[in-house]
Amino acid sequence: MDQMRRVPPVPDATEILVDLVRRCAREEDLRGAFATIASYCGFDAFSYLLLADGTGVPTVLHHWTSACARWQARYAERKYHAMDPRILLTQGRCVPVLWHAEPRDATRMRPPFAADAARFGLRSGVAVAFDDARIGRVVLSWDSAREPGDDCAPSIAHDLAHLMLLAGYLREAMLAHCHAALANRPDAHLTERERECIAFAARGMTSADIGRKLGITQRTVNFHFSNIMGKLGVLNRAEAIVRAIGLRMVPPI
Amino acid sequence: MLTQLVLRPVRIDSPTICPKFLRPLIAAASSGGDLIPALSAVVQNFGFTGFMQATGLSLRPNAESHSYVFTTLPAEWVALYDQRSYIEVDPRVQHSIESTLPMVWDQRSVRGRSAEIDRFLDDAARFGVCSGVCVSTRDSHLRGGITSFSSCEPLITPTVRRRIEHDMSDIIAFSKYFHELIVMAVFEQQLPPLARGAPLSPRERQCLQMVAQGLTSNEMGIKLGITERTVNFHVCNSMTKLNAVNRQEAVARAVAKGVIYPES
Repeated sequence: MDQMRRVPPVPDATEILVDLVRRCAREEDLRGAFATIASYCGFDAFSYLLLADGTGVPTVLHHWTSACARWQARYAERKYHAMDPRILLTQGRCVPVLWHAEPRDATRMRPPFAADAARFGLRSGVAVAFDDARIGRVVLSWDSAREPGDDCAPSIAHDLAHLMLLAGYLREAMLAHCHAALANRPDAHLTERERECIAFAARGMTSADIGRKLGITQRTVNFHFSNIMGKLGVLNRAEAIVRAIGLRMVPPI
Repeated sequence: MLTQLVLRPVRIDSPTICPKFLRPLIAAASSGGDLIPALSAVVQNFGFTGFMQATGLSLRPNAESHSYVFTTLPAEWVALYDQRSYIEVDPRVQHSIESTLPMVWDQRSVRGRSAEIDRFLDDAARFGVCSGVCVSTRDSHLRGGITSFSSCEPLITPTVRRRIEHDMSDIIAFSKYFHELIVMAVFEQQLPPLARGAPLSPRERQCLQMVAQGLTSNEMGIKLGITERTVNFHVCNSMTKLNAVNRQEAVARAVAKGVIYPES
């Protein structure tokens, strides 16, 4: 009986917001749901980023936001994920972070991200990241058009625990959309054999070992790897393995 | 294999925003002060008596994987937990592998699943761990933590359950912040596991000698009259003491040191 009960139970408002997201079948509907979430929490926008951590800079597999579509296009076109503070500050962290688009150091030139983000109404906010063994890293951000001031921290801190709880539920509600986005990720066109090879290589097996295990020659294994490296856009096998882990192609040990 | 942490004061450099009830704890950590008073206050406010946080790098913790444990419970419990490899039996750990949701448990909800688990519960009860709440966290560097609050009460009454539900968002927030504290105190300072270089115990030497003969853990257990899990416990300790990453390396190092002898 106890197991049947949903734990933890969700305060009513949170339930409604999460339900909004769950009922969105299409991506266009999400924009409206996100707008509602943002305004309920007292922010101007809400963004959801699905990332693949790998070698170097994490790549954004998908970017959902309540901000307008032109911002999404600009973000992709200018590759803002490389300098997005929401992504940089949440790396390796599981607690929320306050972010400002503008660096505190006033003598430096405004980075392009800050100027553009401000134009679309994103100057600061609260971001929190989650990590999932199957999906990868997701970053949720409540974005604000206001300049960060000294007074906003206490008011955010007041509701922070509820925000974190809401974030956890939203992350689960977005799973279906994340899976759909993952179907378009760069490695989606790896063949079954190629996936097997990279999974074994990640466990330390050499080409000879893999060949023996799969019943193919070492030369064939190397051929698979050169294809893998081409498809993943990497230069050597070690990099391919790291990228595979980042893209969650390698199942957890 | 578990390493019990004595949390030295940890300095948090980056300013972090946190819920109001956590401010004393974070302030104590930032100033490098003692965390125990603030921590005990939080645990008491939630209505629990025991607290344990276990953090490790493995996605599926087992007896061989390494975890750091910080707890207000007696050290004998940690030692017993490690020795009997309870990490593979503890229903809270199994739950955290399968689900990201918190687990509220008491004697009624977990007893009767298996004899092993019941034995674990009996031992746990001796140290006042009879019911509680358990939350798991994973950060994007694939470090996983399990935060466990425990109580001496064997059953969770409806009043207590309502209180837990009311506090759940705070409990989840606390577990994430504490996970970060442990990560900063341990992983980022790269604390090595303790006991490196210590001499092997007779049992450890015996097990390692049998590994060198090519016996599996199962066979060793049968031969020595102990369980396979205990064998793995001894082999793991010898791996740590010899600073080896797997048992083959442990054998190689032990032979090189003259601790065990190659088969004649």
